[in-house]
Amino acid sequence: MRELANIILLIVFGIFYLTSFTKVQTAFFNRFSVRNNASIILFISSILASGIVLIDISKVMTEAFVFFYDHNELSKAFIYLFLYFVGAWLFSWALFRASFFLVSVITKENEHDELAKNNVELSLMHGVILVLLSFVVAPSLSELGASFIPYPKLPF
Amino acid sequence: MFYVQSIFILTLIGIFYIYLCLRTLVPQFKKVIYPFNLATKMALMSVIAGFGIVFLYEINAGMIYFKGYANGPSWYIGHIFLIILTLLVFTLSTLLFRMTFLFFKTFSSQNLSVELAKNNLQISGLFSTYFIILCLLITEPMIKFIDVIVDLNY
Repeated sequence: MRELANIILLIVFGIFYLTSFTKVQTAFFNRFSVRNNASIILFISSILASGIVLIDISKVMTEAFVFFYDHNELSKAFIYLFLYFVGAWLFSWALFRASFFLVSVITKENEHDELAKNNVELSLMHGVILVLLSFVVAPSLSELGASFIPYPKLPF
Repeated sequence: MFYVQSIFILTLIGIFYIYLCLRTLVPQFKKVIYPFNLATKMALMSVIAGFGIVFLYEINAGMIYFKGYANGPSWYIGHIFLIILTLLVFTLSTLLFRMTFLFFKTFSSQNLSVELAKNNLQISGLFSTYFIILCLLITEPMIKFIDVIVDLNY
């Protein structure tokens, strides 16, 4: 029962996470007047990067849910799940915005202009940087999240 | 002997799984447009990749039980278990695929089939990303759930 509830919650949170993130990203990318291959590549990479963060944090979400479920504290389980969800969402968004700054520092190009000019190489590089950063940083974020679960302290 | 046995059964199950995937998925995408355009090909490939991810997780978990039975007198139970697990996981992957299709239809203003037929790479990429993320998100808890059910009857 516990596992089934966890699966259902993960599906609901996952769908809501992806949908809301896509909506925000769509609004961001709609600011570029043209929708070309370069902006599509970056758009999909940003969704993929946010998904990587979600997948990593979902393990902590499962741990927290199981822990609080076993202690009959369902309200706390939901609160923790929701906070992890919000944290991962905000982190993904911040990572995406920070990667823009990082790419502009590395390449010395105005990325908005380059995307409008359909510079696929630049958008591919940005996409790879974004996905790699997610892979590197997401485990640390998960560890940080896991440290908030009040596990009993062991005497050794 | 165990290694030969596991290589043999895994090869057979792998081929069977891929065959099953193609038999189910290709007609689904043929309904959208045939011959396939780039967007449909991309969506099809990523759906097959998603099915493959679920299969890899399943095999890792299934091999634990397979090893447990392989050297005993009732070695065939391990084989049967692996086949049943594969069929179960295939059904769950198909459900996940259907669910992603449905969720895309509900939350997006665009019709996925129409957009794929129009060779809309953005929608195809978005659908592919959603499906793979959902596969990676759900598979581990799903395998744990199957594990719990098997342990209860072990």
